[in-house]
Amino acid sequence: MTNFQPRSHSSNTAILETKPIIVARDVEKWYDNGFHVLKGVSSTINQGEVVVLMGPSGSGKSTFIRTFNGLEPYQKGRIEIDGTLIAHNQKGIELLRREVGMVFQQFNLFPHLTVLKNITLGPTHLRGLSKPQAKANAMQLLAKVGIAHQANKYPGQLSGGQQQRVAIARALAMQPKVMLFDEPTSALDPEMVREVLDVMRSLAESGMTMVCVTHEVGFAREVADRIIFLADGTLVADTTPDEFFNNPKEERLQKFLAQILH
Amino acid sequence: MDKYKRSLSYYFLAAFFGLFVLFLYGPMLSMFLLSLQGTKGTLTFPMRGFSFYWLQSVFAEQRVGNFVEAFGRSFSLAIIIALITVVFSVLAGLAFRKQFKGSSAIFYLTISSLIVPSILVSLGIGILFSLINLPVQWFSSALAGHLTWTLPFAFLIMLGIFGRFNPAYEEAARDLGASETTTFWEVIFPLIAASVVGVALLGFTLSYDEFTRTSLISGATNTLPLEIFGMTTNVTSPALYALGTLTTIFSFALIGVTLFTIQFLSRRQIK
Repeated sequence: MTNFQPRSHSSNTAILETKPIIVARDVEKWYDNGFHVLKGVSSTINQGEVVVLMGPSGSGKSTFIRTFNGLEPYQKGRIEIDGTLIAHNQKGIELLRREVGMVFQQFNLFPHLTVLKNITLGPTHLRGLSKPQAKANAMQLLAKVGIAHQANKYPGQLSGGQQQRVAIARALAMQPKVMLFDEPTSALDPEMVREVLDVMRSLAESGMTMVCVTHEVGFAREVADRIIFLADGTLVADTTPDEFFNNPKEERLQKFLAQILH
Repeated sequence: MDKYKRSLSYYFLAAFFGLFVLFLYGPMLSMFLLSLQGTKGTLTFPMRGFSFYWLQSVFAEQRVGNFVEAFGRSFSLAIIIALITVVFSVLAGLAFRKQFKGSSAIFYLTISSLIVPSILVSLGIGILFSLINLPVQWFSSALAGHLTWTLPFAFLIMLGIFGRFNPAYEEAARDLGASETTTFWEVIFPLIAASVVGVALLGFTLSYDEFTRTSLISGATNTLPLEIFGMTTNVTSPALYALGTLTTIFSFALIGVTLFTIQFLSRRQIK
């Protein structure tokens, strides 16, 4: 991946129309045990933006992106995806979820289905694609993530990195408007992190709107348009990678960077 | 280095297990042998010749009771019980993945039926049916009696199955935009299918050999266990053993088929 060209952050915003696609306003959430995990977080993510969410564990970053597709209910505030309100257990939430692809830390591939079936299940059942069409799309996506030859294997027969790439292909098969990544490399062996990040990089280059919770500093530095820093359920910083790493202003952020950058 | 020596407890436990197997299968084996008595054979050893006469007599003669019909009733009842048990225990299992208001009350209410002596359940259902002026029948009152037995068991097993079930698969399905129904049929059910077959078999066998709970409420006709019990008092030929042998073979065949199905359903789930 030496030929990889980092996106120019300044020109990026100029080229793209800055149409907001995710709008979160004062989102507050309490866990069932009363823990106040999100204390009024607001953020707007524009179409085509790559936003990385960082923060210490327990800061609420995973919870925050899981509210974007209604997997986590929130009690106060408002989240809109492409102009439509997201609320937990609301009727028609399935329709919205089809627009938001998610990649999980533990891959969450369906163990009873082959790689190919994992990818075609959604499009055939929910997008009304014919089986041959869904299969053709799936094979294309698998080629893109570099594992077309494993299409007929079961998830349990693949390595972690391969499984995660399948998971990315599965989410993409639904042609989502937004892709969410919830610590996609945290469960991987170190030698497999790169293959997944490479796929995410090329996805970012293709113009996909991405929100990634990750601890991968290199990825954040090179690929992100913006980095949002959450701590204790509050948004502490929302800035460019350059500012984030080279000129952090907030004390909480400085402390965090001192810990992760050794 | 010393040669590895087995401890004393090994021999004790091995002997215990040997006795366990002997008492478990010994009676079955002697019943099996006695059912192959010659035509002049009696209910006890020694064997007087060898024949399939008694096995045939089960189907041929009515003097051993109405075996075929009783079997038909027990078989149908067990199938119905298995179906009802599976449907409701799976639904209950799904519901109990979350704590809800009154969930522990419902839990204990369901389970406590296991503690009530079976004969009292039977008696109680009999009284209830006469109170509302319904005749007791194998397909109504006995059905109810069997459900008081199979549902709590299946419910407990389903709790265990869903306890091990990883909700992450469901989340993945929901994120892809699947409705609750699609998620259930495409993801949850295939993943628990093997266990569900096991629960169905449990429901079937608990019902198929149920005696006490059925004893007072099967009405004018007998289920198979009641029929066999009736025979022990008035059939004095090895036909009784022949019947036992046939039902045992049937049970083993059924377990074999089920295990094969479970194997087939879970063949690819490597995690």
